[in-house]
Amino acid sequence: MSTTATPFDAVDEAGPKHDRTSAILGMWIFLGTEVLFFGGMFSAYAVYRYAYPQAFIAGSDELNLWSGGAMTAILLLGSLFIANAEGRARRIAEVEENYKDHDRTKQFRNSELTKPNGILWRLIITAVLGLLFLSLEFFEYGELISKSYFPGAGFDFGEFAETPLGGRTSEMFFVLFFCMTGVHALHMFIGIFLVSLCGIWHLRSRATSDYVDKLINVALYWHFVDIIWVFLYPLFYLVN
Amino acid sequence: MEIGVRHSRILYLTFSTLIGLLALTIAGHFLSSGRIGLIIALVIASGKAVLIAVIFMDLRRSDNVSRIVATGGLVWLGILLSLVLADYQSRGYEEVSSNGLKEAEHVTAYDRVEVEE
Repeated sequence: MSTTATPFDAVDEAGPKHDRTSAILGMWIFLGTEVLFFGGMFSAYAVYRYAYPQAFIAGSDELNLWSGGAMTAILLLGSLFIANAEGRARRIAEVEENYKDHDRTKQFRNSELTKPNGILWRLIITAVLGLLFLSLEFFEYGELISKSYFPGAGFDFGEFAETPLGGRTSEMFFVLFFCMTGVHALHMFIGIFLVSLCGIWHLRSRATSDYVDKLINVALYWHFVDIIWVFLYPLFYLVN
Repeated sequence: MEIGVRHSRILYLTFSTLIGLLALTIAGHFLSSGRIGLIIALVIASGKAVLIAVIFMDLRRSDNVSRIVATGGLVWLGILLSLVLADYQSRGYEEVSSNGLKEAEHVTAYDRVEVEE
């Protein structure tokens, strides 16, 4: 019986590598839509900062520059840890896939390919750094709310209350601050949840190649959220 | 066997550069002001974003389609921001008969509020 080769055979032969490329492409397309999601808010920021430059300076003066800097450093450190975990997992998975027809136990005995391979604790540190970031952010929210800077009926911007719009232009700064950093915080919550899930997948799976595609995509998401903050920090904390 | 020592070294180097750029951002805030300060901050932030995308997000080793999608996201954002800002920059002008624009009189009522120091 003769068999005819079809394009699908080539896809099947490509195996895990093909799956990985497709998964990563899918994540990049999702991140492309996220750029536009945040892009709308960045446009609103540009418009209001163009219209009310002084109000943005006054609003920014009320934020803690050093706390924001520390939050940026914490996020960058988290990115380092998850990039390290992901790179490690990717290389282990590639070796596993290359040796899938051989006796895995013999190949991997006494090597760093066996657990513990340092992936789990890197994921735990990433999640803890994410929680630390959120703690600092919510502490700052608490301080701003206690000073009546939360937008709404109770908003009171003290010395600027006598200005033409009664401090309402600075209120716009805080509307954008709470909206943009709030949506970013929501992404952080999702990121921490996903990183924790990766830790669970790591513990449950027998081989790294079982969950490496998910870990690569979670790492991409985490880095993207990091990039958003890299822009939010100077736009809100460093206005002069 | 140590796995990916070289890869880890690149990551640590990138992280150090990012922290250096963060310090530069804060220094730039104290040393510059106004439009220049904003431009410096945004240029440094863009540099940080490129480093994160290329090294941490592994764009340097990604396939071309992923790179196109990543670039596409930036292009769409660029279109959005440039058209919105072009709109706001060009407000307050009206056409005159001799092929040109002049500042519209009604713009004195434009709701731009400057807080006096």
